[in-house]
Amino acid sequence: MKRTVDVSLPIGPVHPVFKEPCRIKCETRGEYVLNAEIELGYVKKGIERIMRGRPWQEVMFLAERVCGICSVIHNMVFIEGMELIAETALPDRAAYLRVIVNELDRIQSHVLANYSYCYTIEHETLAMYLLNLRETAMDALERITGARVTCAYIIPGGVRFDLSDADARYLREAVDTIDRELNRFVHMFTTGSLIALRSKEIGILTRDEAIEAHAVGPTARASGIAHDCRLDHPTYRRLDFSPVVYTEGDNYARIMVRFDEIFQSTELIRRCLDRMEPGIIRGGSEVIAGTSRWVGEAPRGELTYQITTDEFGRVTDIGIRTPSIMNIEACVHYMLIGVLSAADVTSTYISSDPCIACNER
Amino acid sequence: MAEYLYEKDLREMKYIIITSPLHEVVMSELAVHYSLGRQVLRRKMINECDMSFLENIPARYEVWKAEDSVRDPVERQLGMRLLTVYIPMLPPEEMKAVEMGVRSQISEGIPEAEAYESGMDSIREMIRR
Amino acid sequence: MSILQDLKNTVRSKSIHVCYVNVGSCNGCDIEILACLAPRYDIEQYGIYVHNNPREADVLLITGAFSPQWEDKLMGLWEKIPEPKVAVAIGNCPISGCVFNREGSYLDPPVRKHIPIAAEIPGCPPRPTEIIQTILTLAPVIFRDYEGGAS
Ligand code: SF4
Repeated sequence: MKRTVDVSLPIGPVHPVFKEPCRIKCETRGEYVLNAEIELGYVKKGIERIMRGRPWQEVMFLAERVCGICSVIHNMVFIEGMELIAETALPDRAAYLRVIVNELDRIQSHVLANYSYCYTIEHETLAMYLLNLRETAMDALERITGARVTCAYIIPGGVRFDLSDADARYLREAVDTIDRELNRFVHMFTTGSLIALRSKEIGILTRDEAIEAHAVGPTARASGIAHDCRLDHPTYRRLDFSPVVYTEGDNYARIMVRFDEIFQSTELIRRCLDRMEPGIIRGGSEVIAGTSRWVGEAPRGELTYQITTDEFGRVTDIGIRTPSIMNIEACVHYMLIGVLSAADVTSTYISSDPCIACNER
Repeated sequence: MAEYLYEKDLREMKYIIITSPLHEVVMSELAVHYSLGRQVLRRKMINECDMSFLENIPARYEVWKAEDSVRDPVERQLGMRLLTVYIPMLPPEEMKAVEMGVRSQISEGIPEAEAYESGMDSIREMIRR
Repeated sequence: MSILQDLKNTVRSKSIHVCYVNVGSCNGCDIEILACLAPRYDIEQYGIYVHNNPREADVLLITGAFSPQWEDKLMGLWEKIPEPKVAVAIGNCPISGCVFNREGSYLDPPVRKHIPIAAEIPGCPPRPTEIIQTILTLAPVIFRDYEGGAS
C-alpha cells in the first residue's frame, strides 16, 4: 500500500489559517479529497537529543519548551516522572495547586483551539470573543505563576509560589467570569445554523479508526472513546469527575467536547480551591538513578515521558510522545478522506487541534 | 526518479524522524523479531510511509500489541496486521498469501517452527525489495 | 522626494500588513502574536492587519530558530513580499537560538544569517504589548524614505 499522494492541492506551509507551518498535500477529484498526506519537518528541533546527558535542572526548562501552548503539562509530566524515580512525597496543597494551574492552562488552550476553528470557518465575531475570554485565563495564570507562557511553576517536590487568599478570590472571580461568558458563546455556537452547516457531519472519524490511529484527547472523546488520562492521576482521582464524551466524531463534536471540558475545568478549579488546606508547598528528596514512564493528560490528549536518570540527576535517556502526533495522523489519514471541499480541509484539520511544535519536538 | 515541481527530497527529514528515541525502541524490537538490519527496515518505512505515519509508529505499534488478534499465534509470529495496517509497509494481498501458505503448512502437519520460518523468509524478502 | 510621495508614505505607514512565519519555534511566541489580535490588545486599532499572507505584507514577523526545511523556503518567502518590507525577529529563538542552541540540535540560528532582520524583540516569549510597540515604532521608519511604488 503505497501512500504517496499525487498532489493536486498543496496547502501550506504558510497559510492564513495555520498557526504553525506544515504542508497538507491532497489528491483531489474536483474538490473531493481522495487522499491526503502531510509534510512535516518545518519545526524539527531535536529536543530529545539536546536533553540527553543534561542535568534535570536544564531538562526541566527544555521540556517546557516542547510546546508553548500547553507548557504547564509538559512541565508537570516531566517533574512527576522525576518524582516517581526519586520517590518524592508531594504536599497536599502543592498537589492541588498543580491541578489548578494545569486546568487554567487547559482552559486557555481549548479556548485558543476553538478560536482557531471559528476563525477558520470565518465566524470572526465568535472567534474574537473567545480570544478575549482567553485573556481572562491568561491573567489568572500570570497572577499565580508570574508569567503568561512557559512559567516553570511546577518544581520537584512542589510548586514555586503559594496562593494567597486574595489570589484565591481573584481566581474564583476569574473562573466565574469564564463560565458566564462561555455560556453565552456556547449558546451562540450551538444555535448558529451556519455554524452547524459548516461543522456537522464533516471530517468524520469513526471509533474504530480512532483506535487504529491511537487518537487521544478531545479528538478521541468526540469519537466515543471514554479515555482520559486524568482518571489515573492520583490528585485528579480525588476530585472525582467523568470524561466528556460525544459519539458523532465530526468537527462539531470535537469543538463541543472542548467547550464542555472548559466548564469541567472551571468546576475542578473550584473544587480544588474548596478543598485546599493551608500548609507547606514544597517537599523534597534526593535524585537517584532510575527509569520511569509517566503519562499525563495534556489539553490535546495523552502525553508520555519515558525518563532514565543516573545518580547525579542527569537525564541519560528520554523519550517523549506527544498527543498531536496521533491526532494529526488520524486527521490526515481518516478525517480528510472524503471531505467535500477545499475549505473544509482546513477547517477539519484545525478542528483536531494540531500542534506541530510538539509533534516534531 | 520523477522530477517534482515543488517537492523536495524528504528522505533526510524522514530519517531524522525515524531515529528519535521512541522509534529506536520499536525498531530494535522489530529488528530482533524479523532478524533484519535496522537500516533495512528504516529504508522500507521511509519509502512506503508518509511523515505522519512515521511519527506515529510507536503509538501504532503499541495499539497492535494491545490488540486481540495478537493472541492468535500466527499473527503474533508474522505480524500481518502490523505490517499492513498499523505500519503499512507491505501490500495486504501478498501478506494474505504468505499467511495462507503458513496456515496450510501448519494444517498439513509441518512443524510450526519450520512453517513460521518459511513465512518469515518471504516477509524478509518483501521488506528487502 | 515629492510632496505627493511623502503623503503616500504617511498614509502607508498608517496601514501595515503583517505576516508571521514560524521557522522552528516552540509555539510560545506564536500564541503571543495571536494574543495581540485579541480585543484586549487590539492590534487593528493601530492600523495593523494580520493577514498572514506574504504577498500583501509589509512586516514579516519571524519566530523560531531556523530549522533545516526552511533553508530554501524562507528566502523564497522573503522575496515574495513586495517592497518596502522589514523582518522582525520575535523571541530569543531567532536571535540566539534560545535553549535550543546546543550540541545535537538540528537548528541553525541566528535567523539574521539567512535574511536581513530590522529589529529584534528578546524575551521567551515577549509580551504582546512589546510586539505591538515594536511594530509601531518600526512603521514610520519603513516608509520614511521609500521612493518606489508610484503607480
Ligand atoms: S523564544 Fe522562547 S517562547 Fe519563543 S519560540 Fe523560542 S523557546 Fe519558545
